[in-house]
Amino acid sequence: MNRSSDTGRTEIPALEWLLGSIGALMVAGAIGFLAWSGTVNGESHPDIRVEIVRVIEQRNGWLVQVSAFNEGGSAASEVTVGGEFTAPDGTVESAELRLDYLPSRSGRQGGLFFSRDPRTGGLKVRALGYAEP
Amino acid sequence: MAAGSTTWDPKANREFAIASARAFGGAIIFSLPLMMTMEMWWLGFYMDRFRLVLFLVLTVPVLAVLSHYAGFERADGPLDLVLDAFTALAVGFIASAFILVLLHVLQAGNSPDELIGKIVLQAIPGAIGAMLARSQLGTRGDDENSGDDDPNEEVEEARRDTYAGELFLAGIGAMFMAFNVAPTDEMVLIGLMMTEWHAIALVAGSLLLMHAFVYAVEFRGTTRRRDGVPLASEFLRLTMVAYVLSLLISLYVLWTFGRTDGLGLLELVKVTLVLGFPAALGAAAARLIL
Repeated sequence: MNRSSDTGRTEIPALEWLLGSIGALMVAGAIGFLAWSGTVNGESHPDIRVEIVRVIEQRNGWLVQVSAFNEGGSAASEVTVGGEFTAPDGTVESAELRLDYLPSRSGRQGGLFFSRDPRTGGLKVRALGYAEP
Repeated sequence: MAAGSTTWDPKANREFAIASARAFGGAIIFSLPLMMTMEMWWLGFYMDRFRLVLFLVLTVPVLAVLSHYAGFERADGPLDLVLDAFTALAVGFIASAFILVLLHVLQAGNSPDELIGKIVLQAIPGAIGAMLARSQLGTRGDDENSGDDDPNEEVEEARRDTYAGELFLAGIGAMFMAFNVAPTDEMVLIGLMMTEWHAIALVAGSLLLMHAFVYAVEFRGTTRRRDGVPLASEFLRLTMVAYVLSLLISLYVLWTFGRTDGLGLLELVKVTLVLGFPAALGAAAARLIL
């Protein structure tokens, strides 16, 4: 029990074994998961699904809430999402939004504003483009 | 009693618990600036998985050696040092997960890959902070009353005063400063803004400041120049070596964060020198702080 000699202590507290093992498990788990994820995703590309969550009528027009989900294996940045519909009088109205980042297998939400009711003219939303991070 | 055997002694366990609690404090203080940097969150999900794994794997031996020179608790023997390294990582993981949840950086819609990537990346500086907690937050004998009652502190001081110890701690300082600024876009931007002449001046400025830090400033912990050793030889032996070390570490950190990808050779050199500036100051200051 020579805790303060040059050779340091000779015994290891049980708590140190506990915390040390937790740390080793966390590190091993993280390495395993990241290596698996890196191998599985390999050289895949962003694959973005855009869906309409709901259309809300507001004082200043219509808000179309959209969700974008990246089903691909790599992250995308500067993702542009666009939506458009044809109004009853034949004019096409479009709107777009930009998401800074869309990680793989993760979702983000946003909204598009329109001045007329978009539900009347076959509203379509989709991802327009992205940049590699 | 054989070295490495387990003790259930309440006092020893209590001391370890206090040291671990202090380690949490160190982890949070050191990594909070990074946890509040959005580039770090983004890197957590988009950086190359192989580079992130390599970074995490390399952290383990670095922490074990750091524990030898400035651990968060008294440690001796390879087993104890490795256990301390993993304890520091456990602290880093828990602290980073806790703070990132608190700040709502980790959200329900995030994929496991995004969550784990963000936590792991922040856990690494957290673990270094945890390891350094004792020298930062703990009690330690001042230089004035060096006859204090902690011979272990003096053992560590003696270890740090070796050439290998000084260089290792310089490397830790460089690593820490580089890590703190490398994620930001400004590193590459500054590199692109500077002319070649600015880059050359930056090298001279880095070396000059480093040398001033290490030798001219007579603060606590600065290396006292050994009598009879010419200044030029000290410059080559320590300052130059520490600067080269800082540049190599800067380059490694830049590569890990994917900042070197697609960069031309001239730009690569300039960006490395830019990051090498804070890294070099970190290397020089490490001896003052630790």
